[in-house]
Amino acid sequence: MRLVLRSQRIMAASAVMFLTASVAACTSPGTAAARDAGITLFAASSLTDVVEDLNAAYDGGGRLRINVGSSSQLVAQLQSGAAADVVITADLEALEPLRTDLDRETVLASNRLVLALAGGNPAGITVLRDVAADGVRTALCAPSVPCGRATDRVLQAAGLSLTAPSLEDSARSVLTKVSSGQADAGFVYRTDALAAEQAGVTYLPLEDPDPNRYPAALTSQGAASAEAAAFYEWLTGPEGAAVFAEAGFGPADPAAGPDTPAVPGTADSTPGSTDAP
Amino acid sequence: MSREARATTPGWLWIPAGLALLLCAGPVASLLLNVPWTSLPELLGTDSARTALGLSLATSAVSTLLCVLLGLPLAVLFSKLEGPWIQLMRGILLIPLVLSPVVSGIALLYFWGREGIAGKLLGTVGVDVGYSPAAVVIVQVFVSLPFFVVASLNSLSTVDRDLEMAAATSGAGPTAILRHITLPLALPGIVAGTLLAFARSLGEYGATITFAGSIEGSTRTLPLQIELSLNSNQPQAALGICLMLIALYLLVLLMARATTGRLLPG
Repeated sequence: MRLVLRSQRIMAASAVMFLTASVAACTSPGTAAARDAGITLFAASSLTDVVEDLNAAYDGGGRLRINVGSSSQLVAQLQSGAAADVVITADLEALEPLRTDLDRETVLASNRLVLALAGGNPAGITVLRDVAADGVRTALCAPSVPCGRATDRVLQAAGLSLTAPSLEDSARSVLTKVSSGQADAGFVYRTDALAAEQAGVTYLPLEDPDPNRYPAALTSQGAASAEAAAFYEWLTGPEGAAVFAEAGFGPADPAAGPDTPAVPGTADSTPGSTDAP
Repeated sequence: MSREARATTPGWLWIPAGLALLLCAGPVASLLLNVPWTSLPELLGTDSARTALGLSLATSAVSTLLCVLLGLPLAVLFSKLEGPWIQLMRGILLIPLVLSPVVSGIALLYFWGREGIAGKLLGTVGVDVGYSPAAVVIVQVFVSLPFFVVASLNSLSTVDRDLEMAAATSGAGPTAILRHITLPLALPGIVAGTLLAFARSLGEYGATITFAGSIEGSTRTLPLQIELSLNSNQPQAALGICLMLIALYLLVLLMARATTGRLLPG
């Protein structure tokens, strides 16, 4: 009898969980950004590490409340009422739906797309067109997010099309697929590939006709707060630029000069130098 | 409400109960209000929606079958045996029920992934489950099996032991008893568990995207297609597929009601 009672209880709990799960499948993540103090920063997922550095470097550290996601998710959240003071997206196009509500915007940095290779390069990829070969598992961003647009651009320039890639919702999801070895290769930004170096991820540099430019924007809500405006000035000034350069991002105008040198030994490694077995 | 119920049920219960109903029904109702009913046929007729539907139904059917084939023996053993080890095993089986889907995804990755324990082993014999419908089935079995086992166990435990013993003393073997007495008597719970497992498989999202990726026709099931449409600034398409999923759930619940006489097993 005890057993029956227990399993009935478990049954009830599982019915509840089943219902929650089914409803959860149809809901989008909401962000109820409470505004108590500090500056709310929304940043593209490829800036996951950089925003931590920014938060540590600005005004003694810990002043920022950070929300990281794909640029299109962030924009959708802001459109449905989430509150942010400063927004950084991974390309200029992503900001388009918000432009009526922005006070100012400045391009902070640029970033190049690379082909990240799983540890040990299991598919033996040495040039870009190898990813189109049979049996190579690739992950890339969905075409609606900036890294997906960049991937389309690069693949078009190279005249390649991929069969059955896994479409991910952000650059960092692609990176995870590659660093965990589930995908042989994935299109991410150079800074992402560098961040996953410890997981054995290497990368092939790619011909990108138009590297992504990352705009920072001060929202009209942010402009109303002296605190947020001061942070925006700092972010777009030399100190902000130094944090981006440190993380391996290119200058705001990608045509102005070469990317900053990366960690020694991995800087723009030639195809031959990836540690293929 | 009957007179007895009115005499023994405090009226103020309606206040929290109403709130509970609102919390559950409100979001679903507003989802339905936002569905673009007029453009629904073309939204659901798109290739990507149909591919996802086909994949979802096929993988969920296979997963459910696996859940029954593997889960039923387990449930029978759990219902017959007692002791600390059985308790422990039952606890272990319930883990996927309470795990966050993303945790399930990572756990699956460490076991079935290319670098994982079982994945590496399979890799040496040339089998690669990742990024394929097989990966989706693995995820679905992982999350649905506990639902099936718990539901069947619930029903199996109520089977009259004296009846089984009477058959045994009349000379019936254990398999014959299981086949002709235990399983038929426990059938409502087993059917309910099967439907629950199917429904849970259909809705699986988090662990699938973490472990199996999102490849059209291969691993992009209905929930993944919803998320992709939503992130691709196509909320209309997302809502359309949400409706598709809800319709499938309704169908499952109605089947559960028809076969077990109750809307929700419990």
